[in-house]
Amino acid sequence: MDVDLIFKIAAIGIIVAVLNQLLVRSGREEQALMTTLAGLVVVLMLLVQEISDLFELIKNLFQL
Amino acid sequence: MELIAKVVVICVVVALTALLLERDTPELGLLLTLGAIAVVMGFALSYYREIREMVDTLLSQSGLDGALFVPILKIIAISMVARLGGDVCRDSGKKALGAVVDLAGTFCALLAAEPLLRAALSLLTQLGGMG
Repeated sequence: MDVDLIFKIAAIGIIVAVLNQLLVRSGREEQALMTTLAGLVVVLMLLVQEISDLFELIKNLFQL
Repeated sequence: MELIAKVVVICVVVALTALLLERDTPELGLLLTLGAIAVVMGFALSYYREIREMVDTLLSQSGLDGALFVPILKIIAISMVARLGGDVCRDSGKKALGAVVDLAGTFCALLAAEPLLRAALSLLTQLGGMG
Protein backbone atom coordinates (compact mmCIF):
# COMPACT_ATOMS: atom_id res chain seq x y z
CA MET A 1 0.00 0.00 0.00
CA ASP A 2 1.39 3.32 -1.10
CA VAL A 3 0.70 5.33 2.06
CA ASP A 4 3.48 7.77 1.11
CA LEU A 5 1.06 9.44 -1.30
CA ILE A 6 -1.29 10.34 1.58
CA PHE A 7 1.58 11.74 3.64
CA LYS A 8 2.80 13.77 0.65
CA ILE A 9 -0.65 15.29 0.08
CA ALA A 10 -1.10 16.01 3.80
CA ALA A 11 2.32 17.67 4.01
CA ILE A 12 1.66 19.83 0.95
CA GLY A 13 -1.77 20.72 2.33
CA ILE A 14 -0.39 21.80 5.72
CA ILE A 15 2.42 23.85 4.14
CA VAL A 16 -0.04 25.55 1.77
CA ALA A 17 -2.49 26.25 4.62
CA VAL A 18 0.25 27.84 6.76
CA LEU A 19 1.54 29.92 3.82
CA ASN A 20 -2.03 30.92 3.01
CA GLN A 21 -2.62 32.16 6.56
CA LEU A 22 0.70 34.05 6.65
CA LEU A 23 0.03 35.77 3.34
CA VAL A 24 -3.58 36.63 4.19
CA ARG A 25 -2.56 38.12 7.56
CA SER A 26 0.12 40.24 5.88
CA GLY A 27 -2.45 41.61 3.45
CA ARG A 28 -1.31 39.71 0.31
CA GLU A 29 -4.55 38.00 -0.62
CA GLU A 30 -3.61 37.60 -4.31
CA GLN A 31 -0.38 35.79 -3.48
CA ALA A 32 -2.26 33.61 -0.99
CA LEU A 33 -4.68 32.63 -3.74
CA MET A 34 -1.77 31.85 -6.08
CA THR A 35 -0.12 29.70 -3.39
CA THR A 36 -3.35 27.76 -2.90
CA LEU A 37 -3.69 27.30 -6.66
CA ALA A 38 -0.09 26.10 -6.98
CA GLY A 39 -0.61 23.60 -4.15
CA LEU A 40 -3.82 22.43 -5.80
CA VAL A 41 -2.08 21.85 -9.15
CA VAL A 42 0.83 19.98 -7.53
CA VAL A 43 -1.52 17.68 -5.57
CA LEU A 44 -3.71 17.14 -8.65
CA MET A 45 -0.64 16.09 -10.66
CA LEU A 46 0.24 13.59 -7.92
CA LEU A 47 -3.32 12.28 -7.74
CA VAL A 48 -4.30 12.00 -11.40
CA GLN A 49 -1.87 9.14 -12.08
CA GLU A 50 -2.98 7.28 -8.94
CA ILE A 51 -6.70 7.60 -9.79
CA SER A 52 -6.04 6.56 -13.39
CA ASP A 53 -4.19 3.47 -12.08
CA LEU A 54 -7.14 2.69 -9.79
CA PHE A 55 -9.63 2.89 -12.68
CA GLU A 56 -7.40 0.67 -14.84
CA LEU A 57 -7.21 -1.86 -11.99
CA ILE A 58 -11.01 -1.84 -11.59
CA LYS A 59 -11.48 -2.20 -15.37
CA ASN A 60 -9.10 -5.17 -15.51
CA LEU A 61 -10.41 -6.92 -12.40
CA PHE A 62 -14.10 -6.59 -13.17
CA GLN A 63 -13.76 -7.09 -16.95
CA LEU A 64 -15.40 -3.73 -17.73
CA MET B 1 -8.26 -8.50 10.13
CA GLU B 2 -4.93 -6.89 9.37
CA LEU B 3 -6.44 -5.20 6.29
CA ILE B 4 -9.36 -3.63 8.12
CA ALA B 5 -7.16 -2.41 10.98
CA LYS B 6 -4.82 -0.67 8.53
CA VAL B 7 -7.74 0.82 6.57
CA VAL B 8 -9.40 2.16 9.72
CA VAL B 9 -6.17 3.74 10.99
CA ILE B 10 -5.44 5.36 7.61
CA CYS B 11 -9.01 6.64 7.18
CA VAL B 12 -9.22 8.12 10.69
CA VAL B 13 -5.84 9.87 10.31
CA VAL B 14 -6.88 11.18 6.86
CA ALA B 15 -10.26 12.35 8.20
CA LEU B 16 -8.57 14.29 11.02
CA THR B 17 -6.00 15.84 8.66
CA ALA B 18 -8.73 16.72 6.14
CA LEU B 19 -10.71 18.46 8.91
CA LEU B 20 -7.60 20.46 9.76
CA LEU B 21 -6.97 21.40 6.12
CA GLU B 22 -10.59 22.28 5.40
CA ARG B 23 -10.44 25.31 7.71
CA ASP B 24 -8.15 27.22 5.34
CA THR B 25 -8.04 25.26 2.09
CA PRO B 26 -11.13 23.04 1.70
CA GLU B 27 -10.10 21.94 -1.82
CA LEU B 28 -6.88 20.37 -0.50
CA GLY B 29 -8.88 18.54 2.16
CA LEU B 30 -11.03 17.04 -0.59
CA LEU B 31 -7.95 16.07 -2.61
CA LEU B 32 -6.45 14.39 0.46
CA THR B 33 -9.67 12.38 0.81
CA LEU B 34 -9.44 11.41 -2.88
CA GLY B 35 -5.85 10.29 -2.44
CA ALA B 36 -6.81 8.16 0.55
CA ILE B 37 -9.66 6.62 -1.46
CA ALA B 38 -7.27 5.71 -4.31
CA VAL B 39 -4.71 4.17 -1.95
CA VAL B 40 -7.16 2.22 0.23
CA MET B 41 -9.20 0.98 -2.75
CA GLY B 42 -6.03 -0.21 -4.49
CA PHE B 43 -5.02 -2.06 -1.33
CA ALA B 44 -8.45 -3.65 -0.83
CA LEU B 45 -8.71 -4.68 -4.49
CA SER B 46 -5.35 -6.45 -4.29
CA TYR B 47 -7.22 -9.17 -2.33
CA TYR B 48 -9.88 -9.47 -5.02
CA ARG B 49 -8.20 -12.29 -6.96
CA GLU B 50 -8.54 -14.72 -4.04
CA ILE B 51 -12.28 -13.97 -3.79
CA ARG B 52 -12.65 -14.39 -7.57
CA GLU B 53 -10.94 -17.80 -7.44
CA MET B 54 -13.36 -18.90 -4.71
CA VAL B 55 -16.37 -17.67 -6.70
CA ASP B 56 -15.06 -19.42 -9.84
CA THR B 57 -14.76 -22.70 -7.90
CA LEU B 58 -18.32 -22.29 -6.59
CA LEU B 59 -19.58 -21.56 -10.12
CA SER B 60 -17.86 -24.60 -11.64
CA GLN B 61 -19.22 -26.84 -8.87
CA SER B 62 -22.76 -25.51 -9.23
CA GLY B 63 -22.67 -26.02 -13.03
CA LEU B 64 -23.88 -22.47 -13.74
CA ASP B 65 -22.73 -20.66 -16.87
CA GLY B 66 -19.80 -18.38 -16.02
CA ALA B 67 -20.98 -15.82 -18.58
CA LEU B 68 -23.99 -15.09 -16.39
CA PHE B 69 -21.67 -14.02 -13.59
CA VAL B 70 -19.84 -11.36 -15.65
CA PRO B 71 -22.72 -8.79 -15.58
CA ILE B 72 -22.89 -9.13 -11.79
CA LEU B 73 -19.17 -8.34 -11.55
CA LYS B 74 -19.65 -5.33 -13.83
CA ILE B 75 -22.55 -4.05 -11.74
CA ILE B 76 -20.49 -4.42 -8.54
CA ALA B 77 -17.68 -2.35 -10.11
CA ILE B 78 -20.10 0.29 -11.43
CA SER B 79 -21.89 0.64 -8.11
CA MET B 80 -18.57 0.89 -6.27
CA VAL B 81 -17.26 3.67 -8.51
CA ALA B 82 -20.61 5.50 -8.63
CA ARG B 83 -21.07 5.39 -4.86
CA LEU B 84 -17.56 6.69 -4.19
CA GLY B 85 -17.81 9.38 -6.88
CA GLY B 86 -21.23 10.51 -5.70
CA ASP B 87 -20.15 10.68 -2.08
CA VAL B 88 -17.03 12.67 -2.96
CA CYS B 89 -19.27 15.18 -4.76
CA ARG B 90 -21.63 15.30 -1.76
CA ASP B 91 -18.64 15.79 0.60
CA SER B 92 -17.66 18.89 -1.32
CA GLY B 93 -21.20 20.21 -0.86
CA LYS B 94 -22.40 19.56 -4.42
CA LYS B 95 -25.44 17.37 -3.80
CA ALA B 96 -26.80 17.81 -7.34
CA LEU B 97 -23.55 16.47 -8.82
CA GLY B 98 -23.71 13.53 -6.43
CA ALA B 99 -27.26 12.79 -7.54
CA VAL B 100 -26.19 12.94 -11.22
CA VAL B 101 -23.36 10.48 -10.56
CA ASP B 102 -25.85 8.16 -8.81
CA LEU B 103 -28.26 8.39 -11.74
CA ALA B 104 -25.51 7.72 -14.30
CA GLY B 105 -24.41 4.74 -12.20
CA THR B 106 -27.97 3.39 -12.20
CA PHE B 107 -28.21 3.66 -15.99
CA CYS B 108 -24.81 2.02 -16.47
CA ALA B 109 -25.80 -0.80 -14.11
CA LEU B 110 -29.04 -1.33 -16.06
CA LEU B 111 -27.06 -1.46 -19.31
CA ALA B 112 -24.62 -3.95 -17.80
CA ALA B 113 -27.55 -6.08 -16.57
CA GLU B 114 -29.08 -6.23 -20.05
CA PRO B 115 -27.74 -9.74 -20.92
CA LEU B 116 -29.17 -11.07 -17.64
CA LEU B 117 -32.56 -9.48 -18.35
CA ARG B 118 -32.54 -10.95 -21.87
CA ALA B 119 -31.70 -14.40 -20.49
CA ALA B 120 -34.55 -14.13 -17.95
CA LEU B 121 -36.94 -12.97 -20.68
CA SER B 122 -36.05 -15.85 -23.03
CA LEU B 123 -36.46 -18.29 -20.13
CA LEU B 124 -39.92 -16.87 -19.39
CA THR B 125 -40.82 -17.05 -23.10
CA GLN B 126 -39.75 -20.69 -23.22
CA LEU B 127 -41.79 -21.46 -20.11
CA GLY B 128 -44.79 -19.70 -21.64
CA GLY B 129 -44.38 -21.69 -24.86
CA MET B 130 -44.27 -24.96 -22.92
CA GLY B 131 -47.45 -24.12 -20.99
